Amino acid sequence: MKKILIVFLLILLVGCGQTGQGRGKITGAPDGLQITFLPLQPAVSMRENQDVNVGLELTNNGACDITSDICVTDTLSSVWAGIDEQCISLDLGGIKQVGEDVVRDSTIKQFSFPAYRSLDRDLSTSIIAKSQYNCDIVAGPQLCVKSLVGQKEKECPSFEKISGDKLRATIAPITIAGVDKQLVPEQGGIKLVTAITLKKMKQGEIKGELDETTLNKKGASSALRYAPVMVEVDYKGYGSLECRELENGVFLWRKDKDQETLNCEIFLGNIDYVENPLDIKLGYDYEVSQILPVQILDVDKQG
Amino acid sequence: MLGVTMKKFYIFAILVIPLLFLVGCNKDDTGKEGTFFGGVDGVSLEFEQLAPPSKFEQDDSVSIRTVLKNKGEFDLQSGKAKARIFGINLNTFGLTDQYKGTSGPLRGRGEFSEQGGEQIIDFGNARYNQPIINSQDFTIRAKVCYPYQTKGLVNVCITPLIAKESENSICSIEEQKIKKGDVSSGPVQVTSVTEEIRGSDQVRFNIEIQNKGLGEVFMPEIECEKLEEAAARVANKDKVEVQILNPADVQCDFRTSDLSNRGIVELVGGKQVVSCFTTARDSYEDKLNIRLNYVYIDEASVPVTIFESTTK
Repeated sequence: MKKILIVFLLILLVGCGQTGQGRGKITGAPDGLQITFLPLQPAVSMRENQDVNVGLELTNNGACDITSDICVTDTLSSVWAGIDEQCISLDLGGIKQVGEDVVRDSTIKQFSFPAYRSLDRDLSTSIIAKSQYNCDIVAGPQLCVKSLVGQKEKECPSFEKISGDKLRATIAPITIAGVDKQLVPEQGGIKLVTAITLKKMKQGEIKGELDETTLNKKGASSALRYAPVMVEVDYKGYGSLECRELENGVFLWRKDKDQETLNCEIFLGNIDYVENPLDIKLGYDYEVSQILPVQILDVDKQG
Repeated sequence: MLGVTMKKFYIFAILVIPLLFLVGCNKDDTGKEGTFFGGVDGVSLEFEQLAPPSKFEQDDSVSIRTVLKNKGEFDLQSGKAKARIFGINLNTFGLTDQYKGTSGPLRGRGEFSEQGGEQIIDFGNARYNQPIINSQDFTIRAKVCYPYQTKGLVNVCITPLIAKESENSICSIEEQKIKKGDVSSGPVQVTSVTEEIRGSDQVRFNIEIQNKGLGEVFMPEIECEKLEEAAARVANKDKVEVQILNPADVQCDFRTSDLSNRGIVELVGGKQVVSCFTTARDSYEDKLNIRLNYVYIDEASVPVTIFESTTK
């Protein structure tokens, strides 16, 4: 009877996809998929032969839709049975602005594993829940340009540091943290010069493989140090900016860094006063994981 | 009883009817005290209501129209006042970057048109052709460019030194000469006229000219289209032509040219003082007749939000 009740509850929980709503904006600091172990699912201390049920609450705090898998595994050898890698598909919509509120998609996923058996002592393991997903976002501020540097400086500064809300930094695992704008007069017009600072969220890491050409050029070990991020910077309607650090539209992000800067520029010619969006398109694979340390108690020893 | 009622009626009629006449006889509700209405208005510019609407979807095609109102006191012929849209990437909105002139005349404020004329310039429809995620804010700006003239008719005192010192002068050169209604409405104004006597028979006028509007002033006769070029803009900015029509022998020091009754004055920090003089052989009152000619550019803006299309 008790088992039927548990199964019934589990079915109810699995079906509990939900959307949360709260005041806020869809722009700001980097953020993305948040994985949380549900209380006592599993308990941090389990007995041998006890069923292992893992419950996860998954919330998408970022703007990109997640169409991926959520996988659970542990660090213990399969000799003692228990958790063996299991993946369930995961579909979460990106955050959306509805009036003053931000709507977040979240869901609960349940995993059932056989019990840990044949223990000859108490064991420790770490249960790992992880998901790798692709994220494509467009973010960027409105940048003003003008024909004459030194004029109308109040309305449109020739040197400008853009931060905060003005950045229109779409929330995602990697997003924009700052844009430094500079207008440079050159023969025949104005050049728009930008330094774009990108920042990644604290949790998780950028995934993806470097292409053959990069590996040949930078050496095989570069795969350990860099992860690829596709970047395209467009001054909407005027064309793409040329970025020094990009090669074939790919930026190599140093894995030990949380923040990177791109230097991009475009010659606009003789241009009238314009306020226009700087579209920064980012595409990357990102992996987020959550670890729960668990102790499995040897029943015989206890007895 | 009837007699008392009639008496009351007559008293009421005697008291109230003249009052009604008085109320009806409003002296002059035009607000005009001197020769001119006065003010700092020229041609105002605004976007017509809902053209464009403040919010629309990516696939929507919206009208862009501006309303030009001549609130100053100078008549503009058809097509002389022009407007153009700017401040956005016009290609992405399918809009022209060319100036469009008014299709009819824009009469200034005057005896026959107290409000001044009004014209609408239609820029056609705008449709944003770039992808939008969620929403995007833009500021659509328009500028109006028009040639204009401000007139001044100021009472001045022409008197030689000898007449002043012997107190035989019929007028005084002291105090501010500009009175309300002496200068016509326009964004560039004659804000001060003072006099002083130099030598035995020279009367000097210090005429202060100021850009009192919110826009920018340029040399007269210059084409609006030409002012879109950065170099031409810099070369012609803050320059006003000043002409003294009366007294006939007035000469002014225009710095960049010989002494003349007509020349270009460059405003510094939005204003400048021109010194002019005439010879006073006798003591008399006269009208200082001033004309300021210039091209004026003013701007207006409207914020719009374009939402990602809901029909995909």
